[in-house]
Amino acid sequence: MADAHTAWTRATLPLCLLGILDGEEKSYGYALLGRLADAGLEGVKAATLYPALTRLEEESAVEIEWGAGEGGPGRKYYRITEEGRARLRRDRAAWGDFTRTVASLLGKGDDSGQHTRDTHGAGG
Amino acid sequence: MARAADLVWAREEDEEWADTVHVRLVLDHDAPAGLADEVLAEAHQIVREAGLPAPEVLGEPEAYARTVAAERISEKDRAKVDSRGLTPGERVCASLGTLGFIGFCLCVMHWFEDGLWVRGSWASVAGCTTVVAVASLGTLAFVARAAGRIRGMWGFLTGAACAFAGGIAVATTAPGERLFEVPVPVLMAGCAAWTVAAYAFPDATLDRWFAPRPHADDEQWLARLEGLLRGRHAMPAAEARGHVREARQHLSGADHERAEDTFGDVEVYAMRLADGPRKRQRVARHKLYRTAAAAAVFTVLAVDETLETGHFSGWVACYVAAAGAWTWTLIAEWRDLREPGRADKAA
Repeated sequence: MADAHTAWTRATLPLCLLGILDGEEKSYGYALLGRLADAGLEGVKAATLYPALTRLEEESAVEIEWGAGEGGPGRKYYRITEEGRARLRRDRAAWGDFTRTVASLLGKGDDSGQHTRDTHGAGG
Repeated sequence: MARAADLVWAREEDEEWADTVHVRLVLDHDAPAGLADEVLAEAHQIVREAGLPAPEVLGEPEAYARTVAAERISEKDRAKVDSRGLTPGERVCASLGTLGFIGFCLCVMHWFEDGLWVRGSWASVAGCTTVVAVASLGTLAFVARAAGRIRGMWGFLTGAACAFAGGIAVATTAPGERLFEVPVPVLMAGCAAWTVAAYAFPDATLDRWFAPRPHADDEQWLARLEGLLRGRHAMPAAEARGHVREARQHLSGADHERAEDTFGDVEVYAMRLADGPRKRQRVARHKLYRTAAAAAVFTVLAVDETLETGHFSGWVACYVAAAGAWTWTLIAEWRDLREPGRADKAA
């Protein structure tokens, strides 16, 4: 199950990052990691976050800006672009459709997975 | 499971598609043994069931190979190869093998032009040794760079410069009298043996020499990250330093966690950072530099040969043709780099 969560998180991370950045003027990696953890995505590691941010920057969805660090090296800030906002709107709508489709396939089994086991038992 | 070579495709275009996927997987993505067979057997079944041409069902072969590589080759394996799809060991073997092949060709040319015997002197031995040493050290410098060992690259380049200077000094002062005579086929056999040995040498052993050792501290890890981004993934120095600066900044705010614990394996992390949409552009730019260098070398050779012989010889014609071909390639690559969409359409 942990593997599935990791794969889901990795796939939706760019969308989540755009969502967070849309609500803030700008932010930086360490703060974004905290925001994700606060929201419940505690499994996101720095090793996954920075490559995702780099990809968003290369796709022009975010822009970077270097600012002064607090007693340390300079801090790299990320700011969502207009292109990033347009992408967020598109992806948000697509995500809604996608989750509805998945939910319709999952049926109404309880959270313990009893429904799935019963179905398999009946099939086997 | 059927081997890729045993599969019978219904259409010629399907066969071409399968060949391209196979070649791209092996050359560009260094696919492990058996993966191409497995992938093509699955594709064969899908295409047969769909009853449509493979490009229509599964898309362009290059894109299909890229998707397969991303999904089915582990990050650890993908992180070991450079922008040309080679591991450091494979680069060493390929470069030294090419060196042996060039030596073989030079022997053949000598046989045709100057006869069966080669006269050797202390000066010529010193000259040949210098050429081999400089070429080998130069090759190792490029391999060290591709392995992310920037300091190692400078070490090999310094060694090559010293070997060049020392070799020239010895060759110019050593006696030029005849020391021995050797038939050209013996030298050809030596070059052939060198080439075979280079290709037969297990590249996994060489890979271990260039593999990252456990990092004593974060600074070593960060230096290695910068080296890998610049050397292996052809990232501009400023961009690579930006990633290192950001990683350092993160570490300073993360209760001084170790870099390896925070970011994981340095080779995998470097690959993740470099795997974005700009990767193709970086690789194309480096290819352009190599093509420009080849065009320049053949142009210089053509001019040099013309000045030396004083007329338009057969060699000058060969050099001019080679320079023209490289220049043509250079123009095509430059246009592709300026208009990436054009290259995609062509692909």
